[in-house]
Amino acid sequence: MSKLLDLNRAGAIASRKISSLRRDHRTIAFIVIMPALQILLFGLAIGGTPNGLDFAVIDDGSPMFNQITDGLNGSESLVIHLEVSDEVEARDMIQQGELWGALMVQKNGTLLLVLDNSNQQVSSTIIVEVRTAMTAALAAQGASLPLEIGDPVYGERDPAFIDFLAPGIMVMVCFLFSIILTTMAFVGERYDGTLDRVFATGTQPIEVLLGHLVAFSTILIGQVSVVILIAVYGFDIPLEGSLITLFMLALLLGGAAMCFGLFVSSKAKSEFQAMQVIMPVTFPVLLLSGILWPIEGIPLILQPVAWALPTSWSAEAFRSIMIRGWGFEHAIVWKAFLYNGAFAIVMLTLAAKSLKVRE
Amino acid sequence: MSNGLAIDIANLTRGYGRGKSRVDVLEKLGMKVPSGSIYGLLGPSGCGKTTLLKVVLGRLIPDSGEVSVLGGLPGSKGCAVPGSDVGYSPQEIALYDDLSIHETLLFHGRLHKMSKAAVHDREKWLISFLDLPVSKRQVGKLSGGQRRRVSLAVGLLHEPRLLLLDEPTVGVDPELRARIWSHLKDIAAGGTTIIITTHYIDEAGQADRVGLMRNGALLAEGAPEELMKPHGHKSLEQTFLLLCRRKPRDESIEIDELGTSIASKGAGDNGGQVKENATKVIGELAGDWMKKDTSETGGDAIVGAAKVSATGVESESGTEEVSV
Repeated sequence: MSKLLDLNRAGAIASRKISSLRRDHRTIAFIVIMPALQILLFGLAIGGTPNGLDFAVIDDGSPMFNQITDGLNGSESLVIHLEVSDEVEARDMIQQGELWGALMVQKNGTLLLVLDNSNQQVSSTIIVEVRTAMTAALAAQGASLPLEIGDPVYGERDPAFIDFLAPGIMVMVCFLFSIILTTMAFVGERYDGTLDRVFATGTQPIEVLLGHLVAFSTILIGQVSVVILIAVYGFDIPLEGSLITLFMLALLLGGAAMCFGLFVSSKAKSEFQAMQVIMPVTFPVLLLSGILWPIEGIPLILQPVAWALPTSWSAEAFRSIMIRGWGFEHAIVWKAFLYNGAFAIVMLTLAAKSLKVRE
Repeated sequence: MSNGLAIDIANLTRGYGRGKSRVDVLEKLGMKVPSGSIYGLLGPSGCGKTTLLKVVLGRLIPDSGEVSVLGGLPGSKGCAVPGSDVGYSPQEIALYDDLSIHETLLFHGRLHKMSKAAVHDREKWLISFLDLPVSKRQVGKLSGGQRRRVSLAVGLLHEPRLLLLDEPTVGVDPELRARIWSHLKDIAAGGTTIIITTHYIDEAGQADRVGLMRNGALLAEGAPEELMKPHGHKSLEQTFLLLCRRKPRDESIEIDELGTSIASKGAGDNGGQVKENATKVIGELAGDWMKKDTSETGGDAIVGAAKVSATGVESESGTEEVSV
């Protein structure tokens, strides 16, 4: 009862937990390999340009159209069919699912693009290809669209979807796996008597919590490193800003998630109950944090919910650090640090309150 | 602790749950444990022994009643409990299976701010004393009895002033059990106060004081021979049996009331007089009980005991009838 916080005791708890974790190869493998696997799968499956799309070009023989056909032939995404004779046949083939779209010249001289619009990503890929071929053809004729797109201030000339998605996915993986790691941290200990024993020595709840936090942080460092390495070096996601800032923010986000996990662990009545918390957390995090879709596109009424999640602040900051190359001088970055830190402290306090020495 | 009591409990009530689902595990319990003594807490499982120990430890807050452990309410400011003054070996063993014996002791040593060298010395002694395997063996791979001994080692590690041992000798072989008791007597002589719960009634006979617990209250407490004397029995088991012997169902409450009355009478006493008073109270209790019995039901088992008690002769026939 002497001191509020005894770091030596917290250290004892940490080193005990580290000894346990070191023997628990399955948990280490799960918590380091699973995030790596998730990032790998996301990188491989999401954001790649669709290939082998069947597309008909009904050439009228004009030099302008020839040029467009040549341009489309050079595209990797499209498989060009020249055997289609007219619009009726093209529409019929699209209806049968044999083509994704067709390009032809109308009687009045304008070009007509007909598409199977059932898949937005496929349609936009085709539209981009057609536009690129047209722009090239116009340029060859000495003409151009009255709009010129200048060099972007941030990002690449052809921004890839994965460049938007990857920072968000990194945030989600760091957050969720830190929760998974900690939710069951001492549900068992609260009921098997080991925690009674620890409390009998005069140890305070906050010391138990900090001990666990330190022990799990050793795994967190490995987890965060793997995620960043795979994203930046494996998938070539741009990293314009500081690697250290990114790493620190990822650690802080993981730490905040662990504090939430420890809070769950101090409340849950069983390990099963603790596990159940993970599902209802996963979906809001994935859907509301601006990971899959910009938060600006979320109904106004849900936006406060979105901004209550530390993942929203983090995803925004991750993108700014990675693509814009921003650092602490920008509000988006320092606010993310601030919010995650505050979230961690609030969760840790709640956990300490619900983990009572005296019941 | 001017009164020489390490633990002084009066009218302790503690339950679980709220409203209709509330169950009182301890009801108006009184208990006095003199400093430097071994106190054997005897009672069937479910009678509230572990709950009582957790109140003493400060893990559970009393709903009502006075609790003083080493001079204060456990968990309050200025009370050394919980802390390094107390050693606790819970009934459920509660060790980390993935740690080695050495790591287990080192962990608890660190929580008690012992130096590595001090832990090492104690570890060497405890391993030979408790007949434990080499200290790098993992706790989870030990037998049940070995684990229980590691648990005891953790309680003894930092040489606390107060030891709470919840069934430490289950599954321990008789030779080692004798050795453990002899050590407990040694450290009690050195001033350590020990509460030990046990199922082995004979074992409790070695304690300085014994508390017979049932349904959340102490039926009686006192030195073993004093507890046995009024009933004229040679064993605690028979004394206990007499004290909890079930009367016809409608009267079974009376037993609890008697138990409560003895506990509260005991609680009013001063420490020094506890021994004498306990004897007196138990004598009274036995007397009351017997009177009631002869007048109302004429139950012959109790009559037998009453005769014996009245004459002060320990008779074999009396004990036989009681155990019928």
